Amino acid sequence: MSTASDIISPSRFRFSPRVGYIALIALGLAGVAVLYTFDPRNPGNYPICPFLGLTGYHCPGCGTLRALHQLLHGNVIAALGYNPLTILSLPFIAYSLADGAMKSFRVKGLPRVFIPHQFIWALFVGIVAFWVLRNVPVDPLTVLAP
Amino acid sequence: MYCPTCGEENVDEARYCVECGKLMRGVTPRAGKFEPQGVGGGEPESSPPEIDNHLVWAILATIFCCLPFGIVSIVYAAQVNGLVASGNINAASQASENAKMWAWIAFGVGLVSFGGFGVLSLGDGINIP
Repeated sequence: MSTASDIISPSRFRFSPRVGYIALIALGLAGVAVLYTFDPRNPGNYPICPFLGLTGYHCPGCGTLRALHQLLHGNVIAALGYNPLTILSLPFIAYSLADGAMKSFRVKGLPRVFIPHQFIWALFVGIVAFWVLRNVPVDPLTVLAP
Repeated sequence: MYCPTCGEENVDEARYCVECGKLMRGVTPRAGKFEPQGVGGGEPESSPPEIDNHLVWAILATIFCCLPFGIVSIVYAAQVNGLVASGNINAASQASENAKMWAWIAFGVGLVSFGGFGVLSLGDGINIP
């Protein structure tokens, strides 16, 4: 027999992950529609990156919108040119979000992959290096700039 | 105590895991670490418990929020997996909480700066998020 404390327990209240994932999917689909329609290369379509606006330097995420716009139109090479980090991370993001969404619906998630911490440190170093190098205005490195 | 299925931390009296919904039966409250299942005193043979490092949110925050806080979250995500591998489950859970917190900070600050600074720049001529 269930008691009230089984059902209502304020100390255990948590924002429902399921609601979060539904909202995320809705926002994502809306974002895809907007991004497909409006080209970020046209000025005034989207707000400027605050980091770029304040410092004048590119951040590791700069070029993401233009990259996704190109990807949605099937131009993979152009997408990689705007932000390779974003494009290369998409399969991992998709896998992880799919796993989280499935679990939130009580479906068995995707096989869990334990990433050795060295790889995450390498990712950290890679992102910081990408951040610095794409701001260097020397010829071979300028391909990293968005 | 930690869920035997997904490794999420739950309150001690939890009957079902808040993360994956599986029954928590058989988990001893206050169990800070997973008992090795090997016979005798050798190396622990059990696979490491699954403690979420929230890495995907750290990467999303880094890519979409344009501010350095997502990077902090990545550092904590690396710590989570390092600590899990070395069997330090309590510290791993703490790092997991920090990774989650910094991902939220990154999203929050990102939203505020885009809402404030970013929108002011609309129609400014430059346009590089």
